[in-house]
Amino acid sequence: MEISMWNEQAKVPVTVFHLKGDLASEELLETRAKEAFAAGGRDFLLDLTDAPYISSAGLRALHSVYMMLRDADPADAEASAKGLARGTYKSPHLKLLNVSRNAKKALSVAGYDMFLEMFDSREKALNAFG
Amino acid sequence: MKAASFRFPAATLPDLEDMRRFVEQAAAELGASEDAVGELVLAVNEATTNILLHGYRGRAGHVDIVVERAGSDLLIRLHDAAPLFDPTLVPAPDVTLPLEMRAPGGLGVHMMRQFTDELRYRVTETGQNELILVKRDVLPAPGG
Repeated sequence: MEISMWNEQAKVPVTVFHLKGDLASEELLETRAKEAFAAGGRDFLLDLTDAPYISSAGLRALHSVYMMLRDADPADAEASAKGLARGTYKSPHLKLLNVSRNAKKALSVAGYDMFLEMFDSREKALNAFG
Repeated sequence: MKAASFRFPAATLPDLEDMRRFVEQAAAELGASEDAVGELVLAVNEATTNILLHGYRGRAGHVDIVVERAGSDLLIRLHDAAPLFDPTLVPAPDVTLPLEMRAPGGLGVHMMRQFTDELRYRVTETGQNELILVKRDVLPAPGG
């Protein structure tokens, strides 16, 4: 898998990660996400257009990135504590773009679709931040 | 085609992508639907990841993958010579718990169960692991 990253200005600055290849390992995504976080990025859009499969290792990477962003925002941590169990919470800081059918299945069996919002339109995804 | 097999004599983690592509192609050639193929790839990927990461502990080891028809069922047999381990005995994780309360691990086997109709494990006559992943009624009648 390869990851390219860049920033886009929506209502807030958004770091876009374009994944090329299956999301089937933890290290690369976690490393790149930590780099972006260290550079000040707090809102991440993962473009999965070219990532047909997500494995459990990929899910763990998403989990880790989600937790990093959530823990940096006390309001998000509080909202997730209240809304996750009720199913009303979606991460304000991590969103997914163009998720394949198979990747959606992986997210769904792990219960990650409950808190990760998915978009088919880049513009709508970017505008959902902030 | 009734079956296809692929032998990886010294598989390591970078081979997982070739394993996924092999299963994808072989299952599609047998006539499985796109949905069934995708689910099998997800399940087999978890099984082979476990073999390479936990069974062989990152060292190179042999993995044989056989994709075969049994009537309208699709079977995938995985053979490996890692220490004996029965993944069907791994308890299911509670995916409804808040993320920070979930125990690490178990998600891969959960995916294997969710994306197949049956998981069978046995020790072969030569003392190796054999895991069979079954997807029922996903193949058209032979010649049909």
